[in-house]
Amino acid sequence: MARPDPGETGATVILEVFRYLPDDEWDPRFQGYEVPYHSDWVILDALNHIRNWIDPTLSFRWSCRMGVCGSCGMMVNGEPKLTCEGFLSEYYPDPIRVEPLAYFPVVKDLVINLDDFMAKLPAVKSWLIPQDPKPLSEGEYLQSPAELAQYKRFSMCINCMLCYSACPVYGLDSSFVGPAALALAHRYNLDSRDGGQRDRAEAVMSHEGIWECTYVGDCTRVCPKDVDPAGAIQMAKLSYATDWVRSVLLPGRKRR
Amino acid sequence: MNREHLRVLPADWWLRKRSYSFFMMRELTSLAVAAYAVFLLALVATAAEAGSFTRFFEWLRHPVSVGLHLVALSMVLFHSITWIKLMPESLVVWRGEERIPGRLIAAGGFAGWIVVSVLVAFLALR
Repeated sequence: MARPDPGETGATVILEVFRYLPDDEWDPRFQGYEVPYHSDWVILDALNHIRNWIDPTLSFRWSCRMGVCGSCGMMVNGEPKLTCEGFLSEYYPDPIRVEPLAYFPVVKDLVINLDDFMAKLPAVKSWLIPQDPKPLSEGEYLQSPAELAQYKRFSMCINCMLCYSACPVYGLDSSFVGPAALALAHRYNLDSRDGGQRDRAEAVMSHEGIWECTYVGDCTRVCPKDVDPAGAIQMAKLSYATDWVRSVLLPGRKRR
Repeated sequence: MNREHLRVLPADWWLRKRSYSFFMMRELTSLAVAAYAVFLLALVATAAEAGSFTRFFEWLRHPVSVGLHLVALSMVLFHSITWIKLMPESLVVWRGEERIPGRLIAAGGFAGWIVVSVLVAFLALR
């Protein structure tokens, strides 16, 4: 090595990696890899080291390696985590167990099938539905900082699906719409430019929607972007319930 | 043929993670709240007749009854405290661009709880 590596310590750390190779007849199993321990390495660096230098058959998803793209989420010692955000030093010298995101079907090794989540995002109509659409010539829909503050936190989702792997309700019943999609639906319901709360009701208020949530709260705990899906779902329950009561008591009134 | 590997949640999933166990405790202690509501209904039902009311009261002094009440009290306390702590999540109040801190809303919940408890104690013990 031409340049000294400041993070290099000479020590090693063991990664116990979940392996599933559908072309082989093996059952899923854990495979141990010994990788050099660098104090400035994250788990994703260690996985890339394995694939580049030890075992090229290992498969996993990643892209930005800086907590923005949301594709490197995996179970690390049983906790859903972005592997680009977990430093080896947090676990050293103990071995680190890496598994694919819980509850999703495993395609190969650490790669999960995310079709289910991709179908749920549009099912809750996660886009602006203006109350009174106006032609482009009339300009943009304006919004005050106070109106932005209402939903901003819930708009920070990067679709990493850690919240789904934290949710035992989703683990027990994958038809549950789930934390991220419901939080996103609520993000648009809270938007002052939006009038689509009733249009989203069918997916959000269904049995598989907000009412299936039992408020374990782990989705919020594991969220790398501090979105608070659990809070969004409880707010949505309150909002849709009051909307329903209002529609019963004042049937003639125009609904939101 | 779908060759994807499916993982199933084990039956003891709620024992495998602290946060899951805590959630289960929060939910299961609600049974004590429901049970005590039934108990209060029984109390009201016996109050109609003087004889049955005294017999009911005699039974309440029994150590088994006192023990059950202590267990129910601890469960109801756990349930109420965790419930009020979760209240700010669904009750969001804004003052302009600032969200009223959740701690303040929870404090309001605790204050209301204490006021009602004192009121009930005053009516029951006077």
